[in-house]
Amino acid sequence: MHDMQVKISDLLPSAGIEALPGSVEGDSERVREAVLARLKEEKMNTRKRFRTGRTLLIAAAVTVLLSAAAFAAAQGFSELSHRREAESRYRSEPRDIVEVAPEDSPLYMAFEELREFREEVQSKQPTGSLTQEEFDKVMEDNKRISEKYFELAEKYGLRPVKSLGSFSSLEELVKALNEFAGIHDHSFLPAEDPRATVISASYTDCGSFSYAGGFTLPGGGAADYGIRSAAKGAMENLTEAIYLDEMEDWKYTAADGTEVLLGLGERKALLYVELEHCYVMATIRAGSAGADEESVISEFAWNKGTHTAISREDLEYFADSIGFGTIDALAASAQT
Amino acid sequence: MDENMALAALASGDEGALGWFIGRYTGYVSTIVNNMLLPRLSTADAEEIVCDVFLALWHGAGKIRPGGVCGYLGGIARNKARDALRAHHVHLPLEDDVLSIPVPGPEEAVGEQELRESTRRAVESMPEPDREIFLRHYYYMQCVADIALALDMNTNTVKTRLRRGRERLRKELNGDA
Repeated sequence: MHDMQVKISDLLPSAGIEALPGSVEGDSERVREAVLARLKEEKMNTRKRFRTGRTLLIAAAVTVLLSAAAFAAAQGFSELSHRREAESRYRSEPRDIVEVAPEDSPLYMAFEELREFREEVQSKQPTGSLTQEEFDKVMEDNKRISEKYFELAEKYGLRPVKSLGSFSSLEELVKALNEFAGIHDHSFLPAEDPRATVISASYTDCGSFSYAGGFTLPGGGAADYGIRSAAKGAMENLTEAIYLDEMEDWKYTAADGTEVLLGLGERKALLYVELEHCYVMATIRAGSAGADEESVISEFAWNKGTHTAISREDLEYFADSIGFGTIDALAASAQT
Repeated sequence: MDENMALAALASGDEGALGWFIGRYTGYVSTIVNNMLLPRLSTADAEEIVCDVFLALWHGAGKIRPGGVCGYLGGIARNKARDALRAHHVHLPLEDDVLSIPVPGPEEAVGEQELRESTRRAVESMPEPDREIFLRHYYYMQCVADIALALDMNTNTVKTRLRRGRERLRKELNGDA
């Protein structure tokens, strides 16, 4: 036995106690207006500050990958980028989008169309303080976007994906997936670290899944990560926004013999692999300079000091902890 | 609308969902921020912090577990209010803030969820006004003298009740309750 020291003042907010003394009403309408105005201001300040150098670099990379075959043997994450960039809420530079759907593939075109439809619908939505009627309209728009998803899946011959369940622990997810696919492998993902900031999990009728949690680094620290699979032939895509020019990537043969692509950035690390029946992408919320500052972990004293920088070796250790054969078997089971 | 649906909408960038959370939690967040900051800082400062908290919710929505919004907002509100106090050089010492919990081995860590539940149980089982005193001190970081003044007690009584609260929490965390 040994003693663990905890601060009472850190424990209380984490416990989510709602009935607090000295309750005040708070003017939510006033707060809503102020927050939405600041949000608008933030968006105006970050928009259109594209790095021209980055755009040219990505354009050059894209000429290499005009066929789907180029993706199957992707040598680096730049090959998985389609000249698309995303605004960053935290920095003035836009981030690069990497995604598994090959350009001009039905999957890519379906999601492009869905994205355009969503943007058009959302561009007509009201901003600022919303009346109940306006709020209902926004909810109605969300329903239309959802219906568009099914319409496009049919148009492009893709299988729409239906969520079969969501969980708040790795154990529950693994149990459900084992039952779903009729397999017996309870350790195809790294053991859940109790210091994980966020834990959520879900799986679909296509044998794909997503999990966000944490794993224990060989040195004893913790790293938050998310891993997702996308079944081939299904209307599901995997994307991630990163700063490509800060990322060092390399091929690595994991412990189960699968060759994966790894990338280590300053605050984020990636793993990507195309398997026979699905794609897999994992994002670790830490990089060579430290844990991801955009993550909630920086807000909580709870995890201070436990979420650290990661090295190439840590990332390879992470890849070694994954059973890619089982992940592929999950997707295969839904196709038979 | 269900909170988890609203959280999913928020994570997808839906500003309407942000408005929904503001409507639901402004009272809660303002309670924390006002109780920590007023009267040392101005009402305008407090309102600014409340807005900061909801902006943090917007930016962090994709990383919050379903059912975790209340805890998230509480943590952010408190951290931001504490930072504001620090920025204004307000230092509020807490009585015996650190507790030691025995764990089985050096490699073992007590799960976050387990700690949360034990803490909530301990606080909910405290009789009034012990509970209020405990939360005013360790949650809002109000000093003993301020609490004594607000609740019309002498400072020794406040300290005694804080000690009782700490003992109850320690027992709950140790599994002795």
